Amino acid sequence: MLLKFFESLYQKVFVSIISRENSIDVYIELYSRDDVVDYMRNNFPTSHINAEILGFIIKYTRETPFSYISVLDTSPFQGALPTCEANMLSFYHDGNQSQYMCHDEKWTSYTSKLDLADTKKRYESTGLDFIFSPFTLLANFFQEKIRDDFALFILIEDTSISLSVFDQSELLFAQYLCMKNNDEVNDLFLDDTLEVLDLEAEIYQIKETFFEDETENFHEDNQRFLLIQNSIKDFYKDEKYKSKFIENIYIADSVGISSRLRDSLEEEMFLTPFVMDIELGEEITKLARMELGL
Amino acid sequence: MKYSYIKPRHKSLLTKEIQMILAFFSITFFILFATYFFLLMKDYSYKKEMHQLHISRLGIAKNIDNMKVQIKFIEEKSLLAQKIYTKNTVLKDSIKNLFDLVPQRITLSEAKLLENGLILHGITPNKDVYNFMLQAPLRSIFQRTQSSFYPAANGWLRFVSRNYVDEALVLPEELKNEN
Repeated sequence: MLLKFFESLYQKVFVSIISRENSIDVYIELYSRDDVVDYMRNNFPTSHINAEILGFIIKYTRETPFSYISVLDTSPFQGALPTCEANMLSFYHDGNQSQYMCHDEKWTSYTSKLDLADTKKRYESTGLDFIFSPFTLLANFFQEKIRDDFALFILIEDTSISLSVFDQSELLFAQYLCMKNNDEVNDLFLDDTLEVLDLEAEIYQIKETFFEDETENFHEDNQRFLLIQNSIKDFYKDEKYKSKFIENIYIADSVGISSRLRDSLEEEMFLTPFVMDIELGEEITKLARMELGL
Repeated sequence: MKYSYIKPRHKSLLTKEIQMILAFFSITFFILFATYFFLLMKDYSYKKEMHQLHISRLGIAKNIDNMKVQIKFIEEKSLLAQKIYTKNTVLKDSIKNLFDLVPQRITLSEAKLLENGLILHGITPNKDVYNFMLQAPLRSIFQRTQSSFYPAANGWLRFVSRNYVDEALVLPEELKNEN
């Protein structure tokens, strides 16, 4: 009781760290008495936590003992399963080294325990309080749509795509897809496996479609389109999942996707895309506050 | 945990600043309480000492009273001694004067000094010598004088002279007791 009273006297500082391919975004929110007092965000052109980032974070966290640092899970071995029953989990996913988390007693997100430990180690200098699954964030962001609609929900990050199919709060299918960088894509072109050749052919096919615009996002949007396409194919083909024909696709866009991707989803896959910009920092902070019951 | 894979780190209210503030206040309160208890002890010690001094003062006051009584007694003694000395001096002078009064031809065999009188026994060649040479001065000193004679074997007269002064002229009671 006394602790709660003293806790209420302090301002709470929520720090969200978003690792991008070549930079790190830090979003800081100052929270006091059920209200957001102030917030600030900064982008650091580095791939590792350096002194500048530490200085920026410590500047705010040192003011209060109640500071919480959150990140999104970036493990490539994560996903979500359409059940919460322990004996059914192995039916969808074989992973003894995974940590599971049930949501609303309807669906489960999981990730690699080793990668969790690795993430903790990576943020050792700042300390870490929360690691959220991107599927949790996605479910929270599209809360109303998920409750009422049947659709494909996608969170597009810099280097990954979290894809899930919900039918009125019931998870049917989910996949976490890691994107490869440009060099890797080029390397893939050199690879002589059949799968890669298929990918190459598809990439060129898409490339022709978007031939007029040769922007930097070309490869990324190509990749995204292909990954989404393949994932939807998996959903339709895999008998484990209750497949239904997807008409709508809700995209939480944290990177600023091009209209080409939207068009291609619409024209080639006959989906109706709804794109919503998402501020990952704010959404992660929302989850952190929800986790604390604020 | 509803949303996060990991639990948040333990948050302690005791930040370094709070620890410093608490340490500062702890030291301050410790010094204040130490000073308070020191003063309390000193106060108790002073009160105890004051109580002892009070008792001592009462003893000394009692001693002073005793000494005052003693001084008064000694002063009275001294005054009395002085009076006795004066009286003795007077008496000595009186005796000397008495013996000076006795002429060569009268011999005293006994003299009694009374509080208010003088009784002399002696021998005189005759009454005249006694009357003129001894009784006359005695009359000037004493208010009442009685003389009686009876003959001695050698033809002289033995006499007894009783001389008294009035009561009013007698020495005060204190001097009487001292005597």
